[in-house]
Amino acid sequence: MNLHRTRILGRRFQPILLLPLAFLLKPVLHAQETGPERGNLEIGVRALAGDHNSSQFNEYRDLHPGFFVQDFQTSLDHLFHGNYFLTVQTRDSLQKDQRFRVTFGDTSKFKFEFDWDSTPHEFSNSAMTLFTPGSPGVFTIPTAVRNNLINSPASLPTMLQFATGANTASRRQLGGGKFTYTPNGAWALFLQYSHEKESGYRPFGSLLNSSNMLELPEPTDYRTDELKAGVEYGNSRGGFQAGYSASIFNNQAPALQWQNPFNSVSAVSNSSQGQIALYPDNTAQSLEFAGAVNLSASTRLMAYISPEWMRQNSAFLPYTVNSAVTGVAPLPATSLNGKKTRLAMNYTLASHPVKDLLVTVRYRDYDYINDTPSLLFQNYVQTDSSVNALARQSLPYSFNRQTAGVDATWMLHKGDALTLGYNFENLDRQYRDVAKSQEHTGWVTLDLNPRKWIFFRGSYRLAKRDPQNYDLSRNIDLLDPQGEGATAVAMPAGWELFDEAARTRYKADALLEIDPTDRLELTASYENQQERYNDTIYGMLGNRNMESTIDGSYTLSAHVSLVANYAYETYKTDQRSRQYSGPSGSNPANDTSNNDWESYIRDGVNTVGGGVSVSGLRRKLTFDGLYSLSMAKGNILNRTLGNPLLAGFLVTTAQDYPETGTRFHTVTAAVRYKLTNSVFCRAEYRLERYDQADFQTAVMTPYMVPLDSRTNTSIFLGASVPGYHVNILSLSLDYRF
Amino acid sequence: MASRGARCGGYQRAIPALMKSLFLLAWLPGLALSAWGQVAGGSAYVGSNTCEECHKQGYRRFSATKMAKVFFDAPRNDLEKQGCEACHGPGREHVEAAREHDRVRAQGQVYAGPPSGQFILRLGKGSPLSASEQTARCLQCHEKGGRLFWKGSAHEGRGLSCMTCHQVHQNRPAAPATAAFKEPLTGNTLFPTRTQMEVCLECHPMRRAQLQRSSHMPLREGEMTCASCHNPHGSPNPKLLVAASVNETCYKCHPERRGPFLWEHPPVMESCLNCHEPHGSTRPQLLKVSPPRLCQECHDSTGHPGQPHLATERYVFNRGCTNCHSQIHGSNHPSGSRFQR
Repeated sequence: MNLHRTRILGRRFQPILLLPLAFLLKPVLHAQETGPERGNLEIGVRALAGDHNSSQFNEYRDLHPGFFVQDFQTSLDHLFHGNYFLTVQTRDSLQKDQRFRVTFGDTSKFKFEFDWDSTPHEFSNSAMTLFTPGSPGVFTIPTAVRNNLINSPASLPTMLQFATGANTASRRQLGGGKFTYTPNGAWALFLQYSHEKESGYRPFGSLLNSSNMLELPEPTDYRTDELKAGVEYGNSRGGFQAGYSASIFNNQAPALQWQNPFNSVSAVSNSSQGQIALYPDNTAQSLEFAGAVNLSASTRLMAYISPEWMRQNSAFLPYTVNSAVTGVAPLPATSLNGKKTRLAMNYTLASHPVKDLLVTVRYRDYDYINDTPSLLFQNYVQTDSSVNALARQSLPYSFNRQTAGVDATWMLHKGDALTLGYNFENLDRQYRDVAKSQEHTGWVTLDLNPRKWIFFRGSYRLAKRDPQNYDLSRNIDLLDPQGEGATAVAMPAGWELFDEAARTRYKADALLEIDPTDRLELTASYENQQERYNDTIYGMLGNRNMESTIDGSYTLSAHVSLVANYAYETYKTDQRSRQYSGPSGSNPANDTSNNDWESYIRDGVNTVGGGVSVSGLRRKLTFDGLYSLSMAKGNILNRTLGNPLLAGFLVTTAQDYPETGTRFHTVTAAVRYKLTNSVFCRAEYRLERYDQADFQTAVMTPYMVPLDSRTNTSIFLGASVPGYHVNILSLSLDYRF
Repeated sequence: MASRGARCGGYQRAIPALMKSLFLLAWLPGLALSAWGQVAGGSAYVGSNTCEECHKQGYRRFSATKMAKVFFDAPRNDLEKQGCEACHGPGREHVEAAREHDRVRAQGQVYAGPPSGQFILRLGKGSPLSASEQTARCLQCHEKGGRLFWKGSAHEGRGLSCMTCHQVHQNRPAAPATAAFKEPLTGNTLFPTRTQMEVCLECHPMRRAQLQRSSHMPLREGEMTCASCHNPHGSPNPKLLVAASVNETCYKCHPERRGPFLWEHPPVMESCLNCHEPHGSTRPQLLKVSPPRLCQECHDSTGHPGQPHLATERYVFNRGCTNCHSQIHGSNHPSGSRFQR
């Protein structure tokens, strides 16, 4: 019997198996004690209509038609005439998103927890490919198709009829257990282990030679083992924690190899196959020490220190799988022997020097030390095509971030408070444009509670980051500072990377909560954040984000309640760049401000939600209705800043991109009826509608269209995420015992 | 190889720093051990059974909770043996006032004495105690584990108490299937709202909107909660993160991106947030901005990085720059310096 059939049978029979189990448990549970519910079992049947195979619909979940077991849980206490307990919980059993949890222990001494969790991850259900998967990570093209494409690349549209569906979904399955021992209220020890398997495929871009863009389903076949152990002691004077953790990542498919559909005989600049290194195996081990001591009744000192060691030493792949390429320098090493050490240290002192004042002082040192050898590659092979004579040197990037801060909250009156804070950050980096930068942040927060039913919080934050010296040449070493090769032009003065550049950040936010009666609650919030990159002439110039929300709930009567929420957000980013060309023959480089251009990115999102809850027939009947809509629009506007009439004008492609958008509607109506004291029946209708417009993937339909002259010999998966419209009707029985 | 900077002194520098820090930590448990618990005298206590006489329904609901099972069935120390009075304080005066009230009322007279409620510690909404005073009751037992760093934390500083987010007297009813967010399987049921997520979203309403985006982590589906990445009870790390940095938080589920790699992409190594918005995005892969503009925020050079490009060009459609530069999180291939291998 194959696995698929086993699963189907399991789906059919599990409700039948669980139902008698629940009935059997009922007298056992009643024999223990009468009290609140000790468990429940909810089973049902579901029907779907519409595009329910859509990847977006099935993302992270499994809503299949037919029988389902929504929930099963039971809790047994006082087992074996002692304080032992057993809890069993399941959700979405025998589905791709099923979860199980079993807990057994002694109420006050120890506890075993076992978890199983499965999560599907759907990238697309429209992917098609001419490639055939072989051994893990190896893709070949059927000989006949390949021969046709070699003889006539123009026959590609015809050959695409031989494409088959490509799997672009993966699934995580995680199982683990944890043992906790608490001999008394002061001590605790734990040991935890988990194993996760992630397997499947995801869309992956690759370039072979200079013109064969071949999108493939990248195999993900990961195993991650985690082990943690720790001990803790605590009493009213303080506490201490020590722990060890190890994470071991293993990739069962460490390389991706594929054939060139347009060439079967390797030559320089025209390889017949390509190879990419996928994520290598790695390990991380860390120690954690945390302690806190109450120095007095009003002062507590806390410390946290954690070193972590990260290692990676997987064997290097060869420069190329193109056998025709010669003259490549030998590899400087057979593997990286990568070593990183992270040392995080945090110290916090929290004190109430006087009753109404809370002062917190913090210091943090985060050291990211990279002891990976720096390897020099005299040359390399570009895209399995030909030797690039430019030498390359890998650089062990490191950084150290130190922060110190203090904030004081003065409780003016019950509910009213004023907070003032200051934070200083010093960031040292290695092998980046800025070796040292400092950031000063100050903020003030005011809480007002003039009446019991009104609460207001407003805060303002100002942060200023100053790089000591922005030096574009600091990270060049033997790398390409200005693109590739001899025709490259230096980047213009004033080009600064946004994560290193001088920056001023303003942030203001406010929160208002009103609940004048027990029936009405209103919450409104507003946030405005602006970032300006003061010294940047090229690169990101700034961004402005605004978010506002209003939420409310109203209890109309003991039987009717309403909720509603609305949010509006805008995100704006401005950036400037320059198009230029290098020297060619006797022509000098074209590098003038007349070829500057700007891009304005504008996103807006509206989110609306509402719901009603009604009960009747002496609360035997309940109705829940929910509606939500998330509607987003995105625009990328492009403008040239130069004069097209001047000689040497290059910027001919600064045109606005088509608007993108998403709309996600959900309507839910559920009726629940209490048949007996322990049995409820439930009917639910749910409508989900997702619409999207994305010019970047719309052109991929069906899955490959030669869009520009460089893509005539390229093949894509067509892995788009189209909209869907699905109606879901479910009927279920919930038995509570 | 270029010389290393003074500050980033390498692995050797980390060892003395670590040793100093461990030395500092060594005296913390010593101090803690020097004073073994302080428990109030028992003379003013009446026992939980006395509470049950008047508070039958509450007592019954509370009995189903894990805390009650420890207190009533298997107390581990003197404080837990006090049952209800462990949190609410000694109840003798409260009981005597209540009995006096009942006695006077039974005689048909008007009770003029002090209300019994003023002799017991009331917690939660309407409590006369400040947030920190209420929290102190819980921290008698719960200042360990994830609460070690509660003092001075963002939520303490904003006047929250344990009762702002938790209810103690009864388990939360199971979340209905119509709930906007599914709930992971958990043993923690002491939330006043239907799901753990709703507790956070009451004060962080913008996150509710962000989680509705087309590109999102599996919070709606109940595979994660806010607590998967943040510790609301206080953390030594920025933004209440459960790990020492943003990236280390992400590596908990994405260890393949941890490296070290032969060719590293510095902004990726420093912070995933340079490119991704973890709470939800309208762009694929939780990206803040779609490529190529995302990449062009930093990259400009002769050739295609400096050009605006038409929407139909290969640098823009489908995966944008990652059509070719697919190993953008780091490459371990000798020919992968441009993240194409």
